[in-house]
Amino acid sequence: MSIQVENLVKTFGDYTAVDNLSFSIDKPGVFALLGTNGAGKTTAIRMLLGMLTKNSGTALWDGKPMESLTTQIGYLAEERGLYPKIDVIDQLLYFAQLKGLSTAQAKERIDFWFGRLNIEEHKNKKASQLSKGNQQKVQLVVALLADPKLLILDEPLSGLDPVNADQFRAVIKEEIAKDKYIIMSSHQMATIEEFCDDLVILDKGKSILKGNLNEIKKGYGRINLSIKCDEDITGLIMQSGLTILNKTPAQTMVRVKDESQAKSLLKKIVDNDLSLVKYELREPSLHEIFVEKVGESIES
Amino acid sequence: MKYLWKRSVSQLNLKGTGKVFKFTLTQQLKSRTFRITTVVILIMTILIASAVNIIPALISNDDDNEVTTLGDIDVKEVYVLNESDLDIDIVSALSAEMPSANVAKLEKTEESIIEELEETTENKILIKLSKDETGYSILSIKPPNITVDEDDLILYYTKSVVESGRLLSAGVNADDVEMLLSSISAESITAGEEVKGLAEVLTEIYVPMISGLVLFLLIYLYGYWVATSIVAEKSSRVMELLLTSVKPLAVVLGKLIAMGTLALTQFTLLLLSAGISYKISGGFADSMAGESYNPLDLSTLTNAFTPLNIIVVLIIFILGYVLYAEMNAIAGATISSAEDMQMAVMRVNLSAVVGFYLSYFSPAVDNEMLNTIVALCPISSPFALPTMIIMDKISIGMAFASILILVVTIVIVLLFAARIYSSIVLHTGNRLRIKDLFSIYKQK
Repeated sequence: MSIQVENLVKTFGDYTAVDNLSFSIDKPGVFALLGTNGAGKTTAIRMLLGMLTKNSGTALWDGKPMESLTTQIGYLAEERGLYPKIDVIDQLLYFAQLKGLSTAQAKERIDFWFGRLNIEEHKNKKASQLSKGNQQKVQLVVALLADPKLLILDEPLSGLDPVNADQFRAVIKEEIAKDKYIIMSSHQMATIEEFCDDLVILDKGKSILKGNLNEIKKGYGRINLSIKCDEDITGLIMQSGLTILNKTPAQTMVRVKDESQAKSLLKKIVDNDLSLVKYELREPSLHEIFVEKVGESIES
Repeated sequence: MKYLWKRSVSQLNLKGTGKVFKFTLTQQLKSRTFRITTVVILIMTILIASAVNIIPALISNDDDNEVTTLGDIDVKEVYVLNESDLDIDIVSALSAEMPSANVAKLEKTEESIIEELEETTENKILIKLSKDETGYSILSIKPPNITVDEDDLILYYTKSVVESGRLLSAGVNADDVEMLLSSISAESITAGEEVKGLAEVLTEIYVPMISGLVLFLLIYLYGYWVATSIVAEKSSRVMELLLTSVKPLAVVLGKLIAMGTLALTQFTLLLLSAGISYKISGGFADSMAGESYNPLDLSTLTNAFTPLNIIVVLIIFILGYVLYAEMNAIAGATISSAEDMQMAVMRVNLSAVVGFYLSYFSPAVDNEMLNTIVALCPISSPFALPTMIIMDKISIGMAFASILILVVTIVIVLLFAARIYSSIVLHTGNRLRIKDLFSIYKQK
């Protein structure tokens, strides 16, 4: 099974919201759909789900149009979307039946997921009586009720406290272990790095970077050096012709061209008999890659 | 057949319509607003339908009581002094009307009885009949220290006795006297028209007005609830979740059918309760009515409710509802928050109100050109046509043309909605105006 998205375009009048977006997901796992605010992520998701008609392009799941297979797709929207004055259980049964589940199947799965997420006591409450975090849990249950093959999660951890966020992470990991395909959109890069294998970054509707995250990072090489000494080494760094990216009391982040530059700085620290506290050479984080790429896009 | 239905549904992409229908229907039935409006409408219908029988019966009862006898009254003694030239037995006539009072010819002088009345604390009066150059006069003299409530009534009866008496004394026989003293009605009609009794006035003017009002309330309210349901789902973001499972047209169709089912159920309940309460109240009216009771003859109306007419009325009701519900559904999709609701449905409101007022006043105006416009115009025909058909105020050809125009209008609006709905249903931001909708239609 695979997901093939090719040259997806969506325009609203003269405005192009999505401009020739293409990507593919060939194996189960997490695919990240990233972008700045207004980059076209939600529009792209809505086209995949068939909620918006495409101007051109295709989105295929195993060779079939995705919008025809919505019963196999679970969607967790970024914003809360529940009927405020209707009992949670009634809403869930309704959404489950729309996905093709029988009442008995729906009840069984609701019981399971409510137990799993520790929200059994909220079943007969109105949605407006629940906290934001619990509403998000209910919506996650809606997305998972039909045991979909594809999950689309838009900012899944947004607004959650650390305990609930960990619960969500655990559920996502379980779904990954079940060989599900997951498309995740988030501004929390740490979350994306935790889960995703492949990604695409959008800016103003266009794709500015895509591929496997590890490969992208390797492509940059280990060029981010985190270093700290008891003494101030700013002068030493400047003498070496290196660029300071960020300086905090905990560390100084330095951009090096390659490992030899980093080693050269280390030698100078040792030669000067300075007290070395931290020395870490690593690839850039997704956050750093994102900021750099979007920055380049803005400048161009 | 099942295969053809499934194939049609899949081509139109209406999968899920049934589930949306079921959920919408269930939630609406549970809602307090629906229950209260149903009860209020049924109570009003029962009261109005019963009033048609009960009120005339009560009036006849009062009339009989008024005409035949006063019954027990507070006045205990009535003195009669006849100083006219009429040889009539006022004492016997008043005694028959007031069995609880002692009515007697005055034996004392007028001065002495007046003195007595000035000082008495008893409930007694003097009735004096006299004649002067201008004619006959009846004077009622009562004590100053107590309240005598029935003196006007006693005067009224005395006057009728005197009127009969002077005709009898003029040689007119008793039967002729009754005929001469019966009331005379007067009214003006246009040439070619017939004199209309109360039943006819009720049937031709007030029934169409009331039925037009009821139809307007049901058709408009339920169409409006379709819009509010859509706006509620958009503003609470539930619409996004729904659209991952069903197509926009399936959502709106499910809601439309659910609300329409409720509207039709209420309308049918209304007709049934009106008919049943009219029948039952008729029985009560017969038992409580006086001798002069003349039940309103609404047979013209009741006989018109043939099975065919009822089916035609229900069809027109459904068509009217569908038209207004479609327009409201489009209006609801052009906004994303409940605050913008009034602006969004303003044009639909205006159409409904204009249509209603045309149908409401046309029976009273009774102008042929106006009636034709009201019957053919799709914004007014749903409110006016059912009554026109029941009352046989419209030809078959005109009725058919009216229904055809209504159907064509519905189809046009439906095709327009089908084309633009998927583009506007997730719209957020400023309210879409009509020109925006046409622009989207052209782009599609």
